Amino acid sequence: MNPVSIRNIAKWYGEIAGLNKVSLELQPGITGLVGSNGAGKSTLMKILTGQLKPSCGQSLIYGMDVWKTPLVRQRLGYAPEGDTFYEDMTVLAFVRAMGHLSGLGKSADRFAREALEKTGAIEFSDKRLRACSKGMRQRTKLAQALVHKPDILVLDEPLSGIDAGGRREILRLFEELASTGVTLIISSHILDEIEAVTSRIVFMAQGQVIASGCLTEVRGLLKNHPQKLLITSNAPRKLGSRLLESGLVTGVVFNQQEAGVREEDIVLRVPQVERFYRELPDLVIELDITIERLIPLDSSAEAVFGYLMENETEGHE
Amino acid sequence: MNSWLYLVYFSFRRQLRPQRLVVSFILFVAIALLVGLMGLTNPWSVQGFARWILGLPFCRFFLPIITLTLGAAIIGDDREDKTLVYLTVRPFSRWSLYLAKVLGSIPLALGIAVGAFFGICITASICGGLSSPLGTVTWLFLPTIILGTLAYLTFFGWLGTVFRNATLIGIAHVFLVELFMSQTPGVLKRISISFYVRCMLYDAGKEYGVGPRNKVVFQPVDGGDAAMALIAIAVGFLLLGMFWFSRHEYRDLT
Repeated sequence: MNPVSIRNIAKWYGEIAGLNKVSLELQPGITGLVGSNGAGKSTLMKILTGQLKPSCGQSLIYGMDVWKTPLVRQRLGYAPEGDTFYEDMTVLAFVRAMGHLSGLGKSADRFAREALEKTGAIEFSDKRLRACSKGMRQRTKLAQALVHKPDILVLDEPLSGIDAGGRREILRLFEELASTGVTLIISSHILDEIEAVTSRIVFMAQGQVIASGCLTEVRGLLKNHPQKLLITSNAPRKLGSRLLESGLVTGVVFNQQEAGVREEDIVLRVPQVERFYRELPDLVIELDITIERLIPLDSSAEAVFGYLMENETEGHE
Repeated sequence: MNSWLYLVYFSFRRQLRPQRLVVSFILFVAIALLVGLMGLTNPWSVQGFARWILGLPFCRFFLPIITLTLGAAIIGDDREDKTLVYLTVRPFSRWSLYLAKVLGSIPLALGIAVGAFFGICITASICGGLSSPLGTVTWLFLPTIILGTLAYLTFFGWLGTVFRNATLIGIAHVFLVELFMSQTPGVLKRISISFYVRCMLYDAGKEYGVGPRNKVVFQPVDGGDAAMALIAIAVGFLLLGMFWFSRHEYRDLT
């Protein structure tokens, strides 16, 4: 059984569709939720955590409807996007209280300290929340979501406001949690960072899932956007013309003025990436050349999201 | 169950905000001063004390205002501070969450109401030489104060689940319904909680001659019926609040 099953969910706010027929099956590990503002990410997360009731469809946590079965929320941790707290409480008191509310009883204090340790918030655990910086508050928010050691963590923009060093620590923590079988659902605007910890991404736009799965798979499905590959060899012209001849590429650009592109590099437009990778070794042997480097230029989450959004816009036009 | 009991305690702690206690204290001091000054010029009788102090500023102003500050905050505080999200993602059903928050507010509401009531009774004894022994008067009217507090609290608690600006609506309710409408002749005043509070008060003190100035205009109900009405209001609005909160979605949680 998948930890999270979202089945045909729609959410209407009057005549506006917040979510429209969204279905997802999420497995343990990290899943990134990507979309621009108003794409429906937060609505999906609120439905997933039982704060909103879907207009139709079901949101299941380990097979149980999260809206109808409150007890299942014991297996759920949630860090909201909003920067709001019980401001007069200290960091430790807040996380401990959330632990008590999650059913930890007498262990709440120990678990709270552990969670604060994990998120790097233990140093300022005696500080009042109103006196904490944005980064400290983000860490506290994460700690309250983690305190009861949930199986599923839903984190809305967990990295915003945290400095670069802190982000690395938090991302390491996410990877650590994922390796222990926790299901993490992370929304973020910082696609590079999501990409650094997972290749499983759900792309959302206008209340719908426009693509989901492994990033390379999603990229491969974008047939109308041939992939850009940078290739460095000892015979760029020879290789370029042979690749065009073979039909493996639809375009070859020499001396492309782009960051990181050198004079001896060529940029290829590859319509079928799998076929390209399969046939390239034979071609290299045939031409008796050496390949120094081969880098995909537009397979990042950001580039894929950009193409998906282009497709969406064209589709609507 | 433990986590739910903790929620009751947590709600109680959240209600203990200094500014809220200051408002109650200022109102109490104002009424106590009134009791003291009036008592010094004209010694108190049980009848006069019940009619001019308990029936007027205490039950129709002090009680509604302090229960409004606490009741509207039951959900309103968390909603306004956008901290409700931390509670709604915990493993509680919505109705039980609301119930815990109301139960957490009751001790403070009763503490303030009963404490202030004792306070003005003592003031009346010291400054106005309340003729009847203090203990008798206090125990006579205590059930009225308790039931009135509970009825007001659950009403304003429900108001806080329904409206975002429950405090403003509550203040309008206190002045229009509890103060003004409860003075009008006819049966319209029966929609106010203070009507039943006063009926119970008058009935409890009838052997001391306590009663409305004009029985024909006031048209009181029997003390037992008034008590039942207050219990029904308290339980009814508690259940209504639980139902409302369990069905209502708060899109502005974060």
